[in-house]
Amino acid sequence: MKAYGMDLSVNFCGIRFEHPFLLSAAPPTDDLDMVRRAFDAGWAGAVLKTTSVEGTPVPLKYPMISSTDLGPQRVASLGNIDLISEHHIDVVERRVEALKREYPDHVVAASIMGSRQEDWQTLVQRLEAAGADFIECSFSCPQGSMGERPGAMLAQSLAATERVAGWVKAAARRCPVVIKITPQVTDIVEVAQAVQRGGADAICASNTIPSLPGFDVATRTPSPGLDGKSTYSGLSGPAIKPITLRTIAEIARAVPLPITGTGGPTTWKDAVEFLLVGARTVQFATAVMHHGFDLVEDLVDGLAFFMEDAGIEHVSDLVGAALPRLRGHEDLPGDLRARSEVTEALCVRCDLCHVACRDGGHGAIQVDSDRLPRIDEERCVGCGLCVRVCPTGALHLKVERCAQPS
Amino acid sequence: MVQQVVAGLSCLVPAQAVAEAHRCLMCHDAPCTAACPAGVDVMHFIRALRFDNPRRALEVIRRTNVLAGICGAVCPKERLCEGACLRNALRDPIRIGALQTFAAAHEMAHPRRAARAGGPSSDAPAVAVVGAGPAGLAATDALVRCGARVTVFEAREAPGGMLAYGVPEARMPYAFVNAEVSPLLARPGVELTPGRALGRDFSLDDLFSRGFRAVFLGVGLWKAARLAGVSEVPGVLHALPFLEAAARHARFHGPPPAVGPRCLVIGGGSVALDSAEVALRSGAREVEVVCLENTDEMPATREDIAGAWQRGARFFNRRRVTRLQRGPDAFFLIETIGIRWKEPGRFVPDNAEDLPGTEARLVADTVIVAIGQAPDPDVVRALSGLKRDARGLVQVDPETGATSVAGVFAGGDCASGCGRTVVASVAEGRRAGLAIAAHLGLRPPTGPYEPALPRGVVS
Repeated sequence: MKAYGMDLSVNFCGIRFEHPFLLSAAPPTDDLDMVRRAFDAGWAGAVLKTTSVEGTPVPLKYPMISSTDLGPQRVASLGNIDLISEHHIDVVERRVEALKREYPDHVVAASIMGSRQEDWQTLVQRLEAAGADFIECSFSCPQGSMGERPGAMLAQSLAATERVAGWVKAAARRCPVVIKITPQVTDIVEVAQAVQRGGADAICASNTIPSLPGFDVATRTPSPGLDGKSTYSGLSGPAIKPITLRTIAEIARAVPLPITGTGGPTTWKDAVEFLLVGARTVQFATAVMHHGFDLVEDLVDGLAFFMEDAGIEHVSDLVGAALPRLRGHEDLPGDLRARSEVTEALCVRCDLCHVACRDGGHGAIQVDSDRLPRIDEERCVGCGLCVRVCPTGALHLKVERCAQPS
Repeated sequence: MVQQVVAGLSCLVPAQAVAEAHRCLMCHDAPCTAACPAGVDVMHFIRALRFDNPRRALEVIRRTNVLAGICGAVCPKERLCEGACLRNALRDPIRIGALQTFAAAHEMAHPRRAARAGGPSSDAPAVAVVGAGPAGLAATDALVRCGARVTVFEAREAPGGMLAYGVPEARMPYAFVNAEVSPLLARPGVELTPGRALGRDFSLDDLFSRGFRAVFLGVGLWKAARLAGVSEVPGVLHALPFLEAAARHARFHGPPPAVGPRCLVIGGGSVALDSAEVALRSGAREVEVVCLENTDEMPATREDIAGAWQRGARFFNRRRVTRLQRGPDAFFLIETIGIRWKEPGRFVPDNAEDLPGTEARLVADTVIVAIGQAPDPDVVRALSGLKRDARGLVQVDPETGATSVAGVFAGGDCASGCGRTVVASVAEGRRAGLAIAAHLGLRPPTGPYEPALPRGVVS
């Protein structure tokens, strides 16, 4: 697929993707016809929803979805108490076969979860035989994924991560093995290193985040309420993107394994950010569940236009390109003098900047008789809070390098 | 007022556009698209704006409407997309037109950087497009996308048709028209030949003997319709020549139109209101508009009516002019009478019935008749081989724009009549352009990622 004449193809673990956008292991990939429609809409690949060996109980509970809004913005985050797919390996094998037959140029991956060495190894061998392009191992389902204690995630244990990654890798003959981890750990770098020691080929970072999306306070019912009760949800969607970016960046700086990024992207810009911190491909679920499969057109066009404007020829030129800009706080420049400036033509005189600076900054923004904000150059330290609260983009920071640290 | 001015037109600033795009519900199978004569994929273009992708937004719009920015500004939105917006149920429809204009303005302010070679091959079939108005431009766009070469013949000096020589500068700055139209005419495979008029400088046969394989006629209607008992009185003006004089004055260094202090406009359409506005801006102290329709029956948009009222025009609705004569000192004496509709809901002259006892006299220094347009006599002669209806309009197949002569297609006002919208002409031009391409064995571009603009387009 050439979008606007741009080659958007990427290579992940030796697998060619038409472009970096694929569906993650989630409800949109738990039905053969849905994946077909996704491929027809333009997705480059799909990780089929996590499967297990026959006989594994999958006791789904409904309702399973909750969300948080941000003012009028629906689904700022999506929470779910979903489990792995109810469809066991026998069904998923047939789906993989069908999709690879019908869509040989699309990437079809399978996600697996087991409880015993034998299960993990059976799953990878059978899906590899069915034609899967890579195997993703869910070590991070927030409802528990055979971790060291009930409800704990496998990827929260370094020893278990290394051990199970090793089992899967030992059983795989052809398929790259990708370990999907959770950001809910003390040190993500240690987890990534455990994956590497286990011999896996790549990391998927990162899964939903354990959360409590909220309550109906009148009835004290947590969300989603099941007869007045609930459990912790896996949180996804726009709200978790900053956490995912940090997770990917830390992994990319610490281990040489390729990364497929997931957790919160919606727009092409989000996806470019994932690439900049080191992801080679970007997986989507919540955005598709909200906006539909044809969202991929926005992503492909957006990436193509961005690359055209920026004069970038290959998507790989973006991968990790921003990592050198991430430093420890101690390595950041201390000789900058930043000051707020107002663009009067854009200012509607709401004076939210004044309130924010007065009560959350340094009292550097006064209001003149025209309601126009006036920056007190002496008091303004250039923190940037006013820029963040301005609803019309009327404020910006002017940054200069000064001779001596202020 | 927070705004940005792009090519002379006031547009939303990015923060406003993004906020407005966020309000859009992104309805499935959205009624706004169904209500658009050009079928613009509103939901997907707004989603692209919401997701930080104004370039894609414009590409999505231009797939079906090459005059994206212009139509966003001049469309009667409240009757089309914005009237169908499901947020009307929440009493705050999305400002779809403003968003569409924003997308076009953004591209003008941030032109595509990449220049790629390309365009139709040298042996691609050549098509003549006669008339560089909305229909002709839309046909040109459709044809070039399908791989044809197009020569656009324009009778006047500049492209745009009514947008250049009719719509007042205050309503649609020509700089904006030019900024939207020029890149299309600069595409590889497109050639503009200004100052060449059908009937005056060439005939249909000339085009075919010069090797054009098909012709699209988008010549418009440029002759004023006459109002019996009024038009023949010496000194009475007609709207189109008046607006053209004003446009030439504002845009092409023509002399200013002459208007007396008291001006009377006859008609209730957008051309009548444009005439009223131009008269006010050209020195008239009082402008009165006499029309058969009540305010809610007038073909002009609510926005235009309110605008004209705000700027000082006064309306005499449900009234017609019965007699007009020259008074002493060169002013006009106008006799009018109130009317009612014989059959409710049908707002046409032959359905009007006079109401005796409601006679009223008016006085004016300038009278402008704005009751419609008819084909230009030169054009009528040049098209004598084509089947036309009683009004002189070219008869076409509504699906394809095909006329009674093989290889000749038509669209826009010359086929559908006056008093319609720019976007309707765009839709007809595009449909005909695609039909011509099919007629020539060219295939339309397909696939979700087909470039909406051929490579090599840089403004």
